[in-house]
Amino acid sequence: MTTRNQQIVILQVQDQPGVLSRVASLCRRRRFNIKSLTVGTTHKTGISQITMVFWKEEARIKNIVNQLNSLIEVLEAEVVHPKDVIDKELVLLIAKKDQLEEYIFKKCTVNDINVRIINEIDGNPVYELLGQGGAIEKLLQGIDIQKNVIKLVRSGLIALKL
Amino acid sequence: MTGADILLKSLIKEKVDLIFGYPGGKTIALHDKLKDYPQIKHILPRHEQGAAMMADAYYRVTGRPGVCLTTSGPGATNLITGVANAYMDSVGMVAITCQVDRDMVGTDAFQEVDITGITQPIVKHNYFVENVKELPQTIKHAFHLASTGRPRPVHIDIPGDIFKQNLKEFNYPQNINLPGYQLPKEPKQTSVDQAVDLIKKSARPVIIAGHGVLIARAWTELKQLAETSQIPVISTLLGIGSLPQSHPLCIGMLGMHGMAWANYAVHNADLIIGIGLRFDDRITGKIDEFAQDANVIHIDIDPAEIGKNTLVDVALPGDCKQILKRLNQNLPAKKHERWLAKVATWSRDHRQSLVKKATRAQKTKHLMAQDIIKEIDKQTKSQAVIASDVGQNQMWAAQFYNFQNPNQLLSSGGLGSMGYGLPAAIGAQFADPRAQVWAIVGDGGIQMNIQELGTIMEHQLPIKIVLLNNGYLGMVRQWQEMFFKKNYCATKLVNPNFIALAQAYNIKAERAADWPKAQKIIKQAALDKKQSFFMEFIIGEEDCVFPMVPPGNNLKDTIIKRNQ
Repeated sequence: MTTRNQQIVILQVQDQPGVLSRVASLCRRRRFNIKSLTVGTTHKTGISQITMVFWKEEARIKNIVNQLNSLIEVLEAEVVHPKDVIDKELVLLIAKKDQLEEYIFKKCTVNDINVRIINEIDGNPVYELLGQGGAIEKLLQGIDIQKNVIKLVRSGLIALKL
Repeated sequence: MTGADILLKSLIKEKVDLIFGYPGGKTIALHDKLKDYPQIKHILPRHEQGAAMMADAYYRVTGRPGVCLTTSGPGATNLITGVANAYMDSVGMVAITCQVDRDMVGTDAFQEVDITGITQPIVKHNYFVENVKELPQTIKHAFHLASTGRPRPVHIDIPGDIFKQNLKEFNYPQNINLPGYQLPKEPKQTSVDQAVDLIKKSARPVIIAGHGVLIARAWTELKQLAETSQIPVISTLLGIGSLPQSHPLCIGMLGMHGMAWANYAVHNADLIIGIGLRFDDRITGKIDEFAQDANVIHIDIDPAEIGKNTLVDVALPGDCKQILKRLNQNLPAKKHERWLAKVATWSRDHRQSLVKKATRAQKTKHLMAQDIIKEIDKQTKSQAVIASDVGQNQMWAAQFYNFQNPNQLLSSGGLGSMGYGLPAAIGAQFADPRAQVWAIVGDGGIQMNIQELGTIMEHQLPIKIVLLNNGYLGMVRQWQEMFFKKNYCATKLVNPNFIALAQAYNIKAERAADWPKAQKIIKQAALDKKQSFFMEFIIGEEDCVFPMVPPGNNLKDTIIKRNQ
C-alpha cells in the first residue's frame, strides 16, 4: 500500500537507448511531478520496467498514463492499485549515535520492514531498511531528519504486478 | 550499393516523389546520388524552415507524408519551427537530418548538434541511425508512424558516413515491428449506443468538426450525420472545409475569432459532438465555463486527447471515419427546427457585414481586408487553395473566404507560426500543380520567410500572393489596443518597398490602395493561371479582427465590435 497522496504507474518499455530520456522528458514538458522513478530489466529479454511514483494528481493521472502510452517505445503504461502489486523500497540511512535505534526497530517490527545495521561510521550506525513503500514512508515521517540523521538515500520504489 | 542509394531506394518504396531539401557538408554524398533516381524531384527552398513548411503543406494537400531533408547542425535546427508546427497540427512528415560521422558524434564536432534531443518533444518518434543495415527498416517505420493513427512528424538523424557505407543488397522490409505502437481498436458497442442515445435525446446539439475529420477523410460521413440528425456543424480553424460553407447546416468557425453565432450555439448547446479536435484554449475560451450545460461526445484517434482538456461523457477513441459510419448506421432521422431557427436568429443578428462595418477604425475610406478576401473568393469562385499566414490575415481569410472543399485552407493552427503562408503555398503548389494557390499574408509574416520568393521564381510557380499591409504586427497591435492601452511597443513595422522586392525576384507585382485598383488586380490574378502575381493591399492601420473572445473569457462574452 502506498500512502494516500501518491500513485504508482508501471511502464513496460522496450530496452532501447533513449527510452528513459523520452519518458522523463515527457513528464517534464507536461509538468507531471515525479516523486520517484526506477528502471531495470525484467524476466523478458529486451523489456525493462519503469516504476514511477507520482504525487497524486487525481484528475491528471489518466492523462499522464495516456501520454506515456503514446510513446512508441512504451509497450504499456498503467496506474496500479496498491493491492495489485508488491512494492518495495530500499533506504540507506546513517543515524546519529544512540538516537533512533529504539524507534527504528520498533517501527520495523510493527510494519514488517527488514532492518539491519550494516556498518558503523564514527560510531554512527548505518541502517539498511527494506520494506513496502508505504511502510517506509510512514517510518521516515516519524523521524526528525534534521536532528537525528546524518545521511539518507532512497532507492525509489519498485513494484511487481501480481 | 552505398547508404545513400539505400536511403533513396527506400524513399521510392514509400512512393516519395518530392523532397524539400537543403544541402550541406553532410548531405553531399546523398545529394550526389540524386541524379540516379529521377523519380524523386528535389526542391531547394531558401531556408530549411521553408523545407519543413513546404513538406507540411504537401501532406495537407495530398494526405501523404511530406519529406524534408537537411544537413547537420544549423540545417537541422532551422527545421525546428516547421516540425513543431506539423506536430501541433497533426501533420504527417518525415524529417531527415544528416549528422556528423559516427566517430565524431558526441565530440562537439563542426556543425554537430544533438538534434534528436532537440526534436524529441515535437515528434511522434525519432531515430538515430547507427548502421546502414538499419536504414530500410527505419524508413519503413518512419512512414508507417507518420501516416497512421494520429499523423505527426517523425524525425530520422543519419550520420554522414552511413551514406558511404556499403551494403550488398537492398531488401525493403514488408513488416512493421513496433510492439509499443497500437492503433485504437474499434470502440465498444456500449459507447456507441450511449452516443446514439445522447444524440437522440438532445434538443440543442452541435457538431464541432476539427482537423481530424479532414485527416480521416470523413467529410462524407460527417455530412450524413449532420443531415440525418439535422445538427448544425461548427468547425475549428483547421476543420474548415469539412462541410462546404454553402451547406445550410454549416455555421462556420468557432473560437477566439470565430463567428459569434457559432460561439453562442456552442455555449447554449445541450450536446457537443466533438470530432477530431482537441478542445484547445482558442476554441473553448475559459475552460471551466465552456458549454456547461452540454453533454460531450468526443471522437478522436488519439486517446490521450480525450478528457485532456474537457470533461467527456462518451469517449469514442478511434478513426473518425469508422466511428461516424457506426453512428450513422444507428441513428434515425431527426429534426431540430426550433434549435436551427434559434441559431439562424443569432446568425442574422450578427452578420459578418455588420461586424465588418464595426471593425473599421479610421473614418478614411481605406481598403478593408474583409472586402479583399471576399473579392478573392468571388473571383476564384470559392475554389482556390488558401495558404494563410498567422495573425489578422489568417482570421480574415478564415472568416471571409467561402471554403467549399476539404483541405482548402492551409493554416498554422496549433503553433501559430508566422512565416507559414508563403512556404505552405509553395508546398501546396508542388503537391497539386493544377491548383490555384493563393497565399494570404501580412507584412510581418511574409518577412519571416520572404526568401522563398526565390523558390517561386526558380520554379515559376503560378502562386498568387496577397499581402495585406497595415504597417503593423496587426494582431499583437490589436491586443495592445484592447488590453494594453494602445501602447504599441515593437509592433510598428518599418517596411521595405515590397513591390520592388517582388520585382527583384522577377515576380509581377502591383500595389492597390483603393477599391477599383484592388478589384482590378484581383481579377487579373484570378484569370492568370500561368504566372505568379504579388499583390500588395494597403489596409487600415488600426483595423481589428472581430468577433473576439478575449483570452480567458467565456464564449458567450464574444465581443462583436470595437468599443468606441
